[in-house]
Amino acid sequence: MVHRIFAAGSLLLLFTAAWAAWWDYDREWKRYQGRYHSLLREKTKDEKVRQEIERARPEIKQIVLRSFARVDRCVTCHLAYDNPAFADEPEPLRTHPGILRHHPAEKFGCTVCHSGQGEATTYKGAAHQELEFWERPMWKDEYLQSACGKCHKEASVPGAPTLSAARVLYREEFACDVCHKIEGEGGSDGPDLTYVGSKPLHAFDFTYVKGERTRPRWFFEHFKDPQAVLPFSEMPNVDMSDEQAQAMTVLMLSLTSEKVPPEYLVRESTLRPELAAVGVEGHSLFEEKRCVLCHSLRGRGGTLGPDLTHVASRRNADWLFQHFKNPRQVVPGSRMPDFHLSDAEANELTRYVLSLQ
Amino acid sequence: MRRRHFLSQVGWGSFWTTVAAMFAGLARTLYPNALYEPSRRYKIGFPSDFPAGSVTARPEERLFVYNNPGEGIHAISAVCTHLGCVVNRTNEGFFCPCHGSRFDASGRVKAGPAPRPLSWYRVSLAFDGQLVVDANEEVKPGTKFRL
Amino acid sequence: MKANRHGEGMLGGFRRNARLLFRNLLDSVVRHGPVDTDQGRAEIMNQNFFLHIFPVSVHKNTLRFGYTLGLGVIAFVLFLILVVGGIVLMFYYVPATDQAYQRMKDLEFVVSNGNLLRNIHRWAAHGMVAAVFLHMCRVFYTGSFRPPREFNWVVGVVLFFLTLLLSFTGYLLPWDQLAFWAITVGTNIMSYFPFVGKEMRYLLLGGNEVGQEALIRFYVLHVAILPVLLLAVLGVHFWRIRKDGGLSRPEEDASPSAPVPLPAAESGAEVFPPDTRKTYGLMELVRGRTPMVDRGPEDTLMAWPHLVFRLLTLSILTLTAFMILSLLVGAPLKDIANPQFPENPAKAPWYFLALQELVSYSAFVGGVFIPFLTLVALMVIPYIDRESTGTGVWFHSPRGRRIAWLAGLSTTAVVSLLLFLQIRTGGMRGLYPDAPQWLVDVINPASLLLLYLIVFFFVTGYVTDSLREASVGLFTGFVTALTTLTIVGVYLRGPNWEFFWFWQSWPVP
Repeated sequence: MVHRIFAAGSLLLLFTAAWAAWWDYDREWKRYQGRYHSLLREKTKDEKVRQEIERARPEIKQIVLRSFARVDRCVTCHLAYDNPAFADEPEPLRTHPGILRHHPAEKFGCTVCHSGQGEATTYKGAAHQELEFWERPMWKDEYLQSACGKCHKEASVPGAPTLSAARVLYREEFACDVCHKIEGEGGSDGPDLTYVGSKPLHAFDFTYVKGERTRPRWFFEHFKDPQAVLPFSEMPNVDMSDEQAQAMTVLMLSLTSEKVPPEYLVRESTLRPELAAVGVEGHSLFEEKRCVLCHSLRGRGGTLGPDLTHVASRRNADWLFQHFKNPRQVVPGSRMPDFHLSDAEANELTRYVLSLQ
Repeated sequence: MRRRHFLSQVGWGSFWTTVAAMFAGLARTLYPNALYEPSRRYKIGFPSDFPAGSVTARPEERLFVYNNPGEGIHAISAVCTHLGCVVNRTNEGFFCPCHGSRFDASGRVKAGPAPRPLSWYRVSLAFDGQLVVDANEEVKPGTKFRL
Repeated sequence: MKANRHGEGMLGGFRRNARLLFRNLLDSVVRHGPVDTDQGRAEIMNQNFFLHIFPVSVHKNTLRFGYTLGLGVIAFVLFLILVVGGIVLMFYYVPATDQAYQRMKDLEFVVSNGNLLRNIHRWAAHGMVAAVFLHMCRVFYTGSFRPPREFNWVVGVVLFFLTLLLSFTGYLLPWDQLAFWAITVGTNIMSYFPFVGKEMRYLLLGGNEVGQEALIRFYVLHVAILPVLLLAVLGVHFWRIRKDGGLSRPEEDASPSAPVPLPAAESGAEVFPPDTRKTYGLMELVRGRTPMVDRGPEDTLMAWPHLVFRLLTLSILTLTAFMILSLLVGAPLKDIANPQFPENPAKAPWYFLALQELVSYSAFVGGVFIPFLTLVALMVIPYIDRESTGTGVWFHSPRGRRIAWLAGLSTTAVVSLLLFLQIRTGGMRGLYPDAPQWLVDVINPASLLLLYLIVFFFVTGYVTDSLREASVGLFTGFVTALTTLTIVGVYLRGPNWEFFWFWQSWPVP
């Protein structure tokens, strides 16, 4: 009798060990990597690239960001993010839109902007959708702009119209800072909002929320009718439209406690919101001042100064502005002359140069 | 009795196979799949950042990058093969200040205790157009990457 | 030229030894004969370091699964799984507050077999706590703590306590919300201990709050100090089993092939009384044929293969069960620990939830008095009940079984009633908000439950006039109360420690 149990038990154990080994071996990301390599083979004629593909073994790829204290493994599946040939492929093998030029993956990772769980290596684990016990699923649609807000502190954030509009609404239209503080500025009648975007889910009271139990929904309903969500609230109902409530929600979600290294912050710079229209002025200034005599652009131009095609990935607006105003002060030993540009002209040129792709 | 013996065989066979499998699993588990170390595949910039005929020192990646007109790009490691100090570039090649090893412009050892020539690393082009030097992969000295 | 004892010179001697190298090597390592004779089977049990924990032969009743349910073995196997798995986990886990959680994610997503390792470690930990507890119950119900095994029972209680500590220290390491707040609650309960409570908490946490100091202290306790302590005490536990005459077993009718009893001497005493203090050592074995095939003296069987084989089978089954469980059910990992936002409800690990429930009635009675009393009462059992009749029989007797049933049902009813009253009225504090604290400590569900159990004990003792059966009742009542309160704590307590039926949803997601 015991022998029967022993044999059966041992067999079952062996089977379980085999199951465990298979379960561990058969990873989701290996399939995506295989598909990427075969697509790459089809798309490329370059012999060198083909050899690289042949040599490639399935592995976990990650971007280690010490400055943000995180590891992003999204690129294990999203391998084609920097390969323009994959612009039309379905996810996860699609090229990333151009904003990566200003925010290279090696310096920003992925989750700093997209949220989600970067440490994961599965679709579910990465929190593409709501994930239990992970309170920061990936941003969808315009909520993505909430991410911009953690570094971009200017009133008008390029590429984030909803967030920028909300900042104006906060200060001017609804005067929220009369009662609420953000980063020490504002009143104390209402709660401090500096880190409200990072409040854990269970710190919100969903008793009276009609929609789904998510943070965006809580904020939206609260903005539409404060007392409906918090009966004892003294917050006035300012009759926000749906768009306004949505924008304000984006703003609230952008107020996180995530640590941003100082070199990443873009504070209110000399770029004023009025100068939002990009570069018709900048382009003509660029031609007028004959910059291409010394600087090359898209493969054409002089070599006395550095190539400007991708300067946006190296320099930020503040640096460029200062440099246009006084090149030799910003770069000692520089041969670039002082063109005696006005602030407005320097602004235009900065905007133009930043928009280059 | 025979059935009991057969069952015994099956049992013991499965048991020892599982034990072996578990040791193998243990070894696999201890083999790291991802490292927190900085990557040794360096994106060093665009070809236009390295004008023809130039030699660029990259102290952060401990490399020297050469753009040879008509032949292509090559990258030589700046790490002395003796005990790992960073070498300096001279007119004739390289010199290591730690123990006095001397190398010619191709990295071959001319003098001093260095046992091997300086490594040449594989240069390639990333999809965004930037040059990539892979310090995990050595190539034969003289190999140049044509753009 | 001096010849060796075989008469060979240097070359001859060298050739001989080279030829016999493998044979000699094998013989020097494997010191027993082939195990197809009783002599060989006895030798292997004596010569092998690991096997010499076991006796050479065991009583056949010891091997009956239904007697012990193999709970001690299961607990030990789980401990081995925890040690081996734990050591592998140590290669990837870092006990720093800014890295621990990240490492847990690495185990889940990056490390080969990391998910399985982590899961099996957690489930084996819970399993071990349960197994050790059930083992203690089994030993109690079969009266296996009676002399000469009293001290081993106390050693067992110490082992149970060490198991709880190991589980508790490990609970903090994932550094998620579950871990952080469970340990916050647990150490706060500890601080209620009179006089030294606060100091104990300060020492354990390495400070006033649960932070980096606590994490490293818990880590050192969990991977080094407590395992070594447990192993040492476990050694004593096994040693005592051997020296006290093996596992206890029921006295049975003599088997048909037992030796014919000698005629009694005139005094009427048995000439050869059965001796439970005998250890079955090699000296009991005789060279040559044994008188009975597969049946040693006094119904014993050779440990090899009978005992060893059953142990191996049980180990395999335990490992398989927990591996399957770990492949199917993931161990929980909540959001990263956040000292600013308490979990609501903040619950201690499940094995302390009965305690937490009692603490919610009265901090002193529930957190200090009852636990302390329990520990002392447990340890003192074998010094109160020292009879030998009924040893080896579950619940001692049919009447004992009935008493156990009665104790179980009545305690469940009493606990439910007390809980109901507490929730409805809010207890003494709810009825009389100005009542002094000592009054609340005296009249609350925890103390009333204790009172009930004590009354039950004495009433049962009076009715049956049997100390043993009364203590069976008391023990059953205690275990039932513990189980019921644990279920309440796990499933029926929600935010703010309010009562929720398990189908009712809680106000926050």
